[in-house]
Amino acid sequence: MKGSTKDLLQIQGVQGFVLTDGRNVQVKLPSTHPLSGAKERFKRLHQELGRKGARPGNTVEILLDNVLITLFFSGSTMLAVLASPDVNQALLRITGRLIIAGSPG
Amino acid sequence: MNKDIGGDISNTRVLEIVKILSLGKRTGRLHVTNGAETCNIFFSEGQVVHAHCSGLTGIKAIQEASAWTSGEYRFFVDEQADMQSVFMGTDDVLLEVTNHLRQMDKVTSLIPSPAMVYALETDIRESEVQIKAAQWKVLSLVDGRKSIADIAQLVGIASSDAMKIFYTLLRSGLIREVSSEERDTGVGPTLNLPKTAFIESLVAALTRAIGPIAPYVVQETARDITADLLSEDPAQRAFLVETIADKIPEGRMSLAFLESMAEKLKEERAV
Repeated sequence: MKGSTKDLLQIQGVQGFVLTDGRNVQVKLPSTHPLSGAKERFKRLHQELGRKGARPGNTVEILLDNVLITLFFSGSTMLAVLASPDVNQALLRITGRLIIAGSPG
Repeated sequence: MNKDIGGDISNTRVLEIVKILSLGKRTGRLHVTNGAETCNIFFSEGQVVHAHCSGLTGIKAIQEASAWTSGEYRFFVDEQADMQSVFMGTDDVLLEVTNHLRQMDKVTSLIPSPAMVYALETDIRESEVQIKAAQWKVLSLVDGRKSIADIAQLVGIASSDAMKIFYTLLRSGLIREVSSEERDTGVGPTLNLPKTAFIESLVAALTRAIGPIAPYVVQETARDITADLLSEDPAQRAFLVETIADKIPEGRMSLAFLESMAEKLKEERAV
């Protein structure tokens, strides 16, 4: 078993996720979420941070207003998890790491 | 020349006595004592034919006794061996023992005696360490309490061979010396992990990834991040798991550990 996005969505406080390889973007967010229509912004985020040498590690955490965005990178794949700041952050990172490790990269 | 000879090995070492008896083409038994340990080396017309010492026989027994720096010896003329365990010429025996003593000189510069006690080093410097089966047998018994001599006895090897293994393990950074204060106060290597289902599965998953050092890593990590191991707080447990996973040097093993513990954390959430 590698981590699944289903496991991710079961974590209390996780609002949804965005999975992209730069060309295709899969958004799994409630339609009422402020970032549900931000497909292009996530693509740009992928372009900016997905490049080799653009970041020191493979996990980036951004607190934007009241949304915690955790980005996981592996090869050309980026998984962005959106959650409320009171989420079990370690569990979110563990699950995200497992999902990205199981992705085709 | 039929008179028994004897003396103190702090003046004349076992190797010297073997040389003298060999040159004199003597037949008999050389009996050497070092505290509670005894060694018997049998000669037949100057050739070493048999030796036994603290459960060891043959050349290993001679090597063991040759490293002794105190004790007494006595030569019993014409006592014959009832078996043969040394099958090389005396020159080769002397060469083997000399090489062994040379190695032991290097070893004792770092490990002065088999009474030394070592504990597993939790802070491993190397990202990858390869050890041999014999070294693993010894390492799995290192617990911060047993001395090198105790471990040698449990594994069934000579103390000097155990010292050589400890030397390699120490140089690889896998073990550390335990001070007498630590042993007296029980500080450091003493394990004090609660026996909860979570901790047991954590230790089991980590043992699969890094081996018998796992419980010590759990204990030290919990101390570093001031985690209460009895706490059922899911955030604290997940943080402990994540921090421990980061300490596993091999990426694949780290992921396997995370996978196993993520499953466990999920089960607990479902209860």
